[in-house]
Amino acid sequence: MEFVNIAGLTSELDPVLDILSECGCFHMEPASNHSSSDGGYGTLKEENPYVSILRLLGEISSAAKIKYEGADYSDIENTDMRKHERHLNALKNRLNGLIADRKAAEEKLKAYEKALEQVNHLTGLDIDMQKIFSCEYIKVRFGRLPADSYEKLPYYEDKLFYFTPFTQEEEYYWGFFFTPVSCAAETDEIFDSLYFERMRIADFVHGNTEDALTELSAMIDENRANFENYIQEINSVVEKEKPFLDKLFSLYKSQHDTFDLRRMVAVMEDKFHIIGFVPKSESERFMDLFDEMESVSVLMQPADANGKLQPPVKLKNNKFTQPFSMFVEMYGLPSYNGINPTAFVAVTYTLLFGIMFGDVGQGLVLAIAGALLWKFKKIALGPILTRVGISGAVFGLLYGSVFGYEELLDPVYESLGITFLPFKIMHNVAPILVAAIAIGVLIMLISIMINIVMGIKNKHYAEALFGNNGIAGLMFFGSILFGAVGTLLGMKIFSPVYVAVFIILPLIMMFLREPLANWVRGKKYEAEGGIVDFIASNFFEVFEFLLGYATNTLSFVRIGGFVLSHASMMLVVMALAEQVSAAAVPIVIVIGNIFVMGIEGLLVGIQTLRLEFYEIFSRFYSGDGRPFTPVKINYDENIE
Amino acid sequence: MRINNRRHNATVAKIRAMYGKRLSAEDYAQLASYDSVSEIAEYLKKNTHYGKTLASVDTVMIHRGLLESLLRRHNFETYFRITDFENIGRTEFYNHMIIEAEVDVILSCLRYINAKSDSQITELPIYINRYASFDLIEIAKIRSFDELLVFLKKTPYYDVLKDERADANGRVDFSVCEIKLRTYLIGRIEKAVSGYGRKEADSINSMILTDVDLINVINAYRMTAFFGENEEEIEKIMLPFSGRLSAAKQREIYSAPDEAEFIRRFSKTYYGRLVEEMGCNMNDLERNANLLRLKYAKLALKTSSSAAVSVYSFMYLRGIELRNIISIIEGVRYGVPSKEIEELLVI
Repeated sequence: MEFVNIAGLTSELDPVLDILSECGCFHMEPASNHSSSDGGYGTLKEENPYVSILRLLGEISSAAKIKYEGADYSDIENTDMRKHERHLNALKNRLNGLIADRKAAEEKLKAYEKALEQVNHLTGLDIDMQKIFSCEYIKVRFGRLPADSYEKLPYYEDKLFYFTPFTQEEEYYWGFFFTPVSCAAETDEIFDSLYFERMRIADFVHGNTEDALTELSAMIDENRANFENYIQEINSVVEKEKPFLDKLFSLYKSQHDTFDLRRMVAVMEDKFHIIGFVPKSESERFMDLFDEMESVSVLMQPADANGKLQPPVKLKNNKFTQPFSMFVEMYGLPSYNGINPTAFVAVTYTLLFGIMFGDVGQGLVLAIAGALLWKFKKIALGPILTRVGISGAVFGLLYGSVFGYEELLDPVYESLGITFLPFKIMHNVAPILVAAIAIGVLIMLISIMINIVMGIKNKHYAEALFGNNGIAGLMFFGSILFGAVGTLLGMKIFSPVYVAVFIILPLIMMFLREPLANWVRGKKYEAEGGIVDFIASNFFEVFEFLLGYATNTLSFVRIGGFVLSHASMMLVVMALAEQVSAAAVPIVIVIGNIFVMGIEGLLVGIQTLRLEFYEIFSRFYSGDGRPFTPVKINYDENIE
Repeated sequence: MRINNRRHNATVAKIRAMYGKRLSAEDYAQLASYDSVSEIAEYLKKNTHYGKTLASVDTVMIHRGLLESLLRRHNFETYFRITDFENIGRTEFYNHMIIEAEVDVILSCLRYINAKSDSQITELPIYINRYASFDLIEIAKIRSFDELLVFLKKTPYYDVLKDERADANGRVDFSVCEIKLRTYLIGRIEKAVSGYGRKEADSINSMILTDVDLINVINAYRMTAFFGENEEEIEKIMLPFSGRLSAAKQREIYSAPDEAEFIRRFSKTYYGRLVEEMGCNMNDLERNANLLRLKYAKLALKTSSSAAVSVYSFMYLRGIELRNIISIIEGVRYGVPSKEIEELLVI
């Protein structure tokens, strides 16, 4: 990364910002915070002139329910913003008018449909409805009564009303109640208390049920056609204007975002100052972009030239490791001078996943699924699935497992004369668990060594030399493991000298890591809370370190656990297949494989990631870097 | 004879699955944020397990009373869905929901008699009519206590209430009747579970008695804090059972001269210590007691593999959920700020 200073006359600022937003390799920093404060630099406080036209475009997109896409706007000859605003306002008004008409038509249609639904509940009524409602001495109400309330009607047997249901629909009875005019108030009160929902049959409903239904159906058809015409008209306007709107949006969004960069520019009188970072590989091309601007000077400096600015990080990875940068970014990027752990993650993740998901058939299916996900959906997990799937297939070859068939590859190995393969999982439970711990121990030791190298490089001596993940920790952990393995092999290793030098001494170093680190730096150490506090806190911390070594080591047993669980689950699938008829066997095998692949793939993926983050990263990686985010136009409609 | 009730694992699993569909804190917050009953009904219809019951309801027009009635019926039907699942409803214990509903109807009738009102019919849960031991339409026509006794003559409730008399104004001592009816209900449940295995019976009894303890505490607290009643008056309306609160401990609390002392004495009890552990404000006694009841029911549902315990605790939790919804409806109708409504909820 190179630290870039760009200075020039403010008359050249706009073209400079255009270049920066188009070059795609410039990470911009707010210059006003870092330009010499006594030099009198200030910031540009101007209102972005493109906000209003973008808002107008936003209103049109929400009215027309469209989404703008980035488009080439180079063929827009006239860039008169006012003219464009006038055009957009006219379009907005036209659309709003059409939308209001469509809404009115929709409401009318709903009213007719509601009336139709009401009349449908009066099937069999052979009297003109308007005549029923115009009775002189009888009040008639139409509506629906909850089923529970209908059951309560016998309670009112002495009251002067009559409810006649026409239809029953789920929880309601639809019908009329009739009551003498003199009892109307009381009856209305009763029906109110019974939650009767009165419906007023619209004035446009005439005749008996049959006539009314015919008439309403015709009215609905007519209005639906009307409603659809409006929709078509709106669609045709939108369709015609959309390409131009995309271009206008791209043009003004680009100008808006470029103008917004001014907030990060420092200015003094007629001069401006811009700072940022450019990747080393792009620096020459970047410099060339300003060749023709005589008043603009570009100065490249080492990335750490400005002590206050932490350089951003752009991970460099090869084709194999690239997809795994997703996991590293998820945890946090490395600091600028830190180690890029992607390669380590790529190797360990692929290896661990493959060990746990060992099956030739399932591994290949996973690899193909990953490739398809990437090809058609551009899902970032796809390439990872391809890699770990292949790894699973390779280990499947070693285990001799193909879609759960554990004996399928036996003849192949026999014909090749390989006697030690396939490695039958279910017959080798103990070796698998021991191997899992051995892999874990190896990974932990490598992680500790990386931490030591990084610690010394960054002058973090306390951690690198005396920490639990430093030389002291390596000595302690390594010597315990060496001693344990040696003892198992019948060697006598734990002699008093061995214990004193390789076990007790590292423990003392870990206990005294802070005073010792100060001693290495040539500084005096003073315990903050007094000597008692120092002893107590360090005692418990060292105790926690010891527990950590044990639990972290055992944590890797899960590798063996998942190897076994994968094999066991497939064993269950095979056992189920034996229970069903011959015709159903392929179905059970296919569904069983899909199920195991889904469950195991998810579990193994998560567990491996857990091992990476908790057991590996925690030893040497802090993830406190800043991402490299080059300036670019964001074609998102939301503007602040 | 011991009733083997532990076989109904499918019912227990079904109940737990149904419990999984309970309203969440986010649902309650959403409901409390609304401005009208219509919005509440719409949310319940679209987003909760009440949806099917409310499917044909026009939420724009819905009356609060109808909404509450439908939600109550939903719970009642849920109960029968559970007991019908493995046909466990035929044993005596599973009648308690119907007995409880009948007791509530009789108490409602007494309230209307005392109020000299004839509109009981509107609030009657008519959907229990086909399960009840009396006709709900007929009980709604009763206007005096004597008529009620005659009406109940052929039911077990007659013996429970036969010694009570209305005064010159036709009013009957509602509190005494309520205690008698609730005591009868609890007695029926205790008798029903006596046939179960010891562990299961203990589990149900413990739940019921804990509930009784806390109901008694809430009632005694109300009488002390709001009406300044003395120990003798308080004891009259206490349910004659005790769980973890011994009779002596109960007397000690009831004899508290004022609200502050009542709370102080309660805080020294087993339940008081639990409230303290939960980190609740000790002064909010009524809510704390309800939270404890909720906690016990949740624990029972989570840990028990007995169908009877699961049914009892699940229906209790459904009851709390319903009360929370009703609190929200009331709060929304009276324009109470959503934060205050949420503070009233037992969740």
